[in-house]
Amino acid sequence: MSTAAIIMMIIIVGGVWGTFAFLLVRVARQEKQAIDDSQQQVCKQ
Amino acid sequence: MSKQTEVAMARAERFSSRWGLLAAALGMAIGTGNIWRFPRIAAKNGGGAFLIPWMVALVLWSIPLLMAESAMGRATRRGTVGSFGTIMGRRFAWMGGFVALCTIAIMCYYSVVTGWCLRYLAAAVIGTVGRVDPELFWQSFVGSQTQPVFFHLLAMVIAATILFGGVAGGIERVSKVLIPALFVILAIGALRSLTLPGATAGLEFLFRPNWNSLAHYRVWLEGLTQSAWSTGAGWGLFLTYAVYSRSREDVPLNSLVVGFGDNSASLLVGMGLFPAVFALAPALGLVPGQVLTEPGPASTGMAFLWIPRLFAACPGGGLLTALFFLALSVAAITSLISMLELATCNLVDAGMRRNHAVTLSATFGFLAGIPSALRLSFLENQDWVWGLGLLLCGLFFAIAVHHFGVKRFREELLNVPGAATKVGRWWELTVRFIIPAEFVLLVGWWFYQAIVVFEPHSWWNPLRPFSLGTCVIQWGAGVTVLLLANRFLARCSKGARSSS
Repeated sequence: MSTAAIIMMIIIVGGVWGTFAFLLVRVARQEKQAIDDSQQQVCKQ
Repeated sequence: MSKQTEVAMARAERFSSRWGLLAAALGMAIGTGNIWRFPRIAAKNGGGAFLIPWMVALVLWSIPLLMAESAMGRATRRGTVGSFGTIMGRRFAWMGGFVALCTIAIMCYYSVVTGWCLRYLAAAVIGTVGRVDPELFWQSFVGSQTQPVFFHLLAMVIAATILFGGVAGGIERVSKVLIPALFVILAIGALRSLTLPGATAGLEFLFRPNWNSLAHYRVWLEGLTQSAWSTGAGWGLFLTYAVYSRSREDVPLNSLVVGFGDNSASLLVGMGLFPAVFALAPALGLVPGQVLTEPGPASTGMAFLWIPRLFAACPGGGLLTALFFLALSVAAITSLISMLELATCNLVDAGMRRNHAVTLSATFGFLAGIPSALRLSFLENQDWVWGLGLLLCGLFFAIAVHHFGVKRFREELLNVPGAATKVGRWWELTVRFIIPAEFVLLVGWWFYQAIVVFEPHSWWNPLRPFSLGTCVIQWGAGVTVLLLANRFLARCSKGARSSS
């Protein structure tokens, strides 16, 4: 494989898959936070 | 149970979790367009260079429209007709009707295509695909008349059965299994392909940046078209799923996940197919570029003619063929259920019981899809007319946002309290200027193709499959009927769901 193709592959695949993974992690964090908040609310009640 | 109670329960349906909504939305977006169309279009437009316009289109067409759709569905809790009627006023319910018309028309022939995938999956599992000449197999399948209709019926029955389970018990449960499974299948296929001798030539072809290609307007337009058709932006499908989302959902983040998830799947497919084709085609005396780009009848060339031939020639090829058609079938089914749900959602808004709405939508889809199952030319015509119609649907969403007020839409419907991801002013600029400009360019280009390339002598003739005339006549008939029935549509779609 040529260097240009390798660089392009890293940029495109890394960019798209990396962003997708980052977004999924963000969703997971938000969901964990939401569960923690609701548990705290239940404890307060 | 009384009808009112059942209808009220159907309207109160929700996804039980965020992951359920995202799995269903990814299932909606990832379809045959990723597995079947993406490699062909990428190969035809210079591989690596094509990926740049395709990514730009994701950000400047697909994601902004997915955000608009999702916000409309969540805010109004109504299907496409009711959403447009609520956001723009009752006089504009017909625009939501046109979005529904386009997607339902696509559902009718998409079910036929799903049936082809199921037929090939069955044949791959029992090993028929590798043994019989693919050309003969395809001809005997399509030529039999009964088989395409039977598998079209089977596809519709599977989709309807999933929907009978409801949103959480049907769509969500199935998507949560099938979508991760689809990514695993694609990853296994890619790993197998990448270990074939000579596979790197395929990666070189897919990622080699031919910068000269970027100077051709065609590459940009193909990138935009691929993104628009692959992500399902503007089809009203994400709007439909958002109807069942929680009220404090992070719309921008969900839309980004769907957009980037769809592109991730396409890249995974590309990294599986390109290496396999380049590794296997030369041994059979075939030119890899031709295998990837030859459309064949109804664009079936690569998926149904070349892939079975190529995979049959490699060790473990039977498994690879079965995996390929399994992925294709899973992707097609999860997209088909979203289209059937769109029709169902609008009927439930009109006061119909959910099960009746599913039955009516599936029966209509089956009956209206029979001509496409029997005649490839009819399917190609429908694909041309309603595929282009979806670009118009995308514009309709942008018009709806304009009508509501672009700034107001962003502040009140997108950046809601509880959404951690806030959308900036770039979204306003995109919806205000870039999406309308993209629509003009895209439709102008496709019409130019119809007049100059596809049907140069009969572009005006509505009986020709790829003519401008057939588009104008079918869209015009649809819009006329919807305008005449606008009052009825607005009245039927006023049943609101609870917003909690």
